[in-house]
Amino acid sequence: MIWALIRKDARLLRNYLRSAVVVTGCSYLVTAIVIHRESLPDASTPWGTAMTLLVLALGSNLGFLATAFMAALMAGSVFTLERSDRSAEFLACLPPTRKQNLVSKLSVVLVPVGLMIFVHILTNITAHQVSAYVPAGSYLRNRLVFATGILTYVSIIIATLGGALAVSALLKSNGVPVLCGLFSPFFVLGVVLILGYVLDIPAEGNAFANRYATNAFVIGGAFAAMGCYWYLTRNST
Amino acid sequence: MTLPEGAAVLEVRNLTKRYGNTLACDSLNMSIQEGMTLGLLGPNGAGKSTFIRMLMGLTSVDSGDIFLFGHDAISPSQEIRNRIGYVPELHHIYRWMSIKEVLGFVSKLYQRWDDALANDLLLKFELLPKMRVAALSKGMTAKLGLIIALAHNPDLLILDEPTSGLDPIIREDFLESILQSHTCKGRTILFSSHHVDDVERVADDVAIMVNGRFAIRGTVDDLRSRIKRIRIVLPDGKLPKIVPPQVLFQRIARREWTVTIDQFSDALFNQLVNENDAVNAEVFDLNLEDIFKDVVRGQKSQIEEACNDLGSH
Repeated sequence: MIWALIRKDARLLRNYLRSAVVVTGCSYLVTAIVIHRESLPDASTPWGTAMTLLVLALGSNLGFLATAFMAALMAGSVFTLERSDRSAEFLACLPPTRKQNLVSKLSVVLVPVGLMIFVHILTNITAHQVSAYVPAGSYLRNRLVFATGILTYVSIIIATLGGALAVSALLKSNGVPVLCGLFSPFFVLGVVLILGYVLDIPAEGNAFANRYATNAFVIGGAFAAMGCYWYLTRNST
Repeated sequence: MTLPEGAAVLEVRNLTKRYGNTLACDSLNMSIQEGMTLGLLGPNGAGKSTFIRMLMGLTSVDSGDIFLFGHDAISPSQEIRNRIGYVPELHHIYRWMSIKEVLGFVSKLYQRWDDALANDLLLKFELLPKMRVAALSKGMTAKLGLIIALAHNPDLLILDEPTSGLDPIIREDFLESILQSHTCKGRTILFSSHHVDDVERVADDVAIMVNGRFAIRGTVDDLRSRIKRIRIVLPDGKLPKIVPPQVLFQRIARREWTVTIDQFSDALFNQLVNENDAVNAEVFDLNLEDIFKDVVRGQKSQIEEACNDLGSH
């Protein structure tokens, strides 16, 4: 039964899923085109390796941001699309329970987002490896965000996903949930800055990035949990 | 899940639903025994759809209990849903799916889905599997809804104004399928409609719902035999002296007093004639449509009187 629901939900979000694939590819393509049009960072660097390094590293960074956007789009639509055309009422009369529907919907959002994150982490790690073979590698290594950056990016994605999911569970159209999802990372930033100001914590360097990531994980996770709870306990479909 | 001995397939106790200040369902009590077809008649806004949506778990219940197959079903379990076929007035089947895809999807959700029966019904209703739901007419969508409701061999079929807005031919096909389903499979059916002739054709038992309450219930023959219309010509300038409590609806036009009475008896007729000094009196048999109209009008006039009383106070 659950596979039938997942297949249905995947078809429901098929346009977004296709977009996710295109956006992932485009992140690297756009980076490649931009780099190709610009001069190399170091003239002594072999062209091919440096190009690869930059495309992978910068492309993955761009890809992380695109993933956050797609996460907001998919999480903001996963509950609302069926409500907007009232097919949620048809589904509510069929045997699957709300829990089963929720599992299916979460799978259809989390698996592609997880895959996108995995691809970008993989390319980021690859870029990190490649940088060792490039004379300008150490320079680039310092300039590009790796381990800490990945954590921050993932936390931004969690925040967008949670924000969109929470609002999506309450509404019938996907516009507001998507916007709320996109706004969530800034909301988290506001929380971190206010807390830092109130508790007098200096907002500098990696410590700030780590604090932001931790807060984004917690707040995003809480939003997502609230969204799931609201979906399960909502009176109407 | 088997039906406990003596338990009704469907039973509701004091079922109440409010929308703001409007009482959509007012302490409803009723039951349907296995194999029975109950026709639920009522004018628009009587609360039929709210009642059915509560049964299906689509609308929350304010208070009261619902028992389906002897089990508490305020929010029906998966097992209970597997035994219910539901046809709403408006179908919201996935518009982006084809008929084949819809049936393929739904077939995986029901434990007792019968592919052969679904294909037979598709042929009978002349629906092409490759057609998109978005491209179907209202009648075709209704037929698809009925296929979905019937092909998993439900024990209880709930139909909420399923023939509303359908042309006579599709309506005929629809009713035939429901009748066949009842006759061949012995299903319990709850059939809600404001088409009296549809209900009269399908139902063993009829309940008339007005203003969120069941005003009257019985078999069609029972209702016909116990509800009569009496026309009494009163003496000049006189009003009725005795109005029996079982009056469903009454109207006075000059000297002519027309009264529709539940639990009619010859003794009651004689009492009315004698005590009101009737100049002339006649008894009329009513068909289900007349009974329905008089019950609805009677309930509405009661509400108007209550409102007038409130206004005068």
